[in-house]
Amino acid sequence: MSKSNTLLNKLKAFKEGLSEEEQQAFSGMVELAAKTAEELSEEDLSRVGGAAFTLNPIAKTQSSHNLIYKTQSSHALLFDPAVLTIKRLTTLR
Amino acid sequence: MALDDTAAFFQLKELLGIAAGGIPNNGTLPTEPGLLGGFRLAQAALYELRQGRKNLREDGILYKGRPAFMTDDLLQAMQREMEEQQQTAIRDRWQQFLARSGPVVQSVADHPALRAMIDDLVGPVQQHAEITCLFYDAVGAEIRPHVDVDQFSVNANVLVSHTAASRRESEFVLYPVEGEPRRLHFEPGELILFYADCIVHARTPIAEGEKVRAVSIGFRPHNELHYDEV
Repeated sequence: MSKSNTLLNKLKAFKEGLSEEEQQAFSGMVELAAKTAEELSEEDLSRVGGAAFTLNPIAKTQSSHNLIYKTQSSHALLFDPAVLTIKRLTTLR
Repeated sequence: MALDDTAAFFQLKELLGIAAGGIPNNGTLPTEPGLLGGFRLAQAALYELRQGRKNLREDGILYKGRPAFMTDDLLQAMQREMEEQQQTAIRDRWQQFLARSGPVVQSVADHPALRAMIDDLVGPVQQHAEITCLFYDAVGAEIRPHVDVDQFSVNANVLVSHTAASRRESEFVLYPVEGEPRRLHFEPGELILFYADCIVHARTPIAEGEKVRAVSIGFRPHNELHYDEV
């Protein structure tokens, strides 16, 4: 089982134990995350496809696992395990 | 929820940070109740992941002001160095440009007075500091609401310059775990020291004729869970 699936399963179990009000907040959080993940994917794709894109030697030192690079903010990139988890989580809304 | 491994800890942190990024970057909170509840949940969970830190308050701020070591000469040297470093800057998301530090900025990161301040407010941190020089020139350049990666757990963010053709529009906004977002005003040379990996923050978009130069210096407290120390 992948690590992101492990977290997903934990979150599923976590959600099942929430009150109705808490579940609404959880759903709102997943909705926000899905929105951001989509925007980040579009932003990253536009940069990767554009002439302005350069492999970032600074940011490479700030990340140990990304396919492209990661910046100071913790916004995830395409294919990041957290993004994949969010995409699966949207089924829990 | 039990987090029994480091990978899950940081995946959850990243997921929460992404959720926090779903709100508009205008210094306000979501008005739709479901989204507001979701944002508050993400904030509370991010905070809880790092609860127990020394001096951690709901706004994450440890210090804000112009420290005595930030003399006019030092500030001007930083401004000159950043102009040179800009030639090597690369584009990051949302038209923010990043460059490595030069020796002057490095000397700020290593400054004994800054280190003593951090030691006093945070406790012992690792010797190595991550440094990023930030450039916002283009109209609309911004950094949306986010929390920082682990290397910037404690962030000393220095405003090096902020110029505008007329009025300064872009602001540094910090989102306390409870209460309204705080729009923080800085003059060049001032810095904010805060727990950036658990408190949501942003820079709102740059207006026509406006330019911002800032330096972000990241520290990691000793005796904490860190991403690459598993």
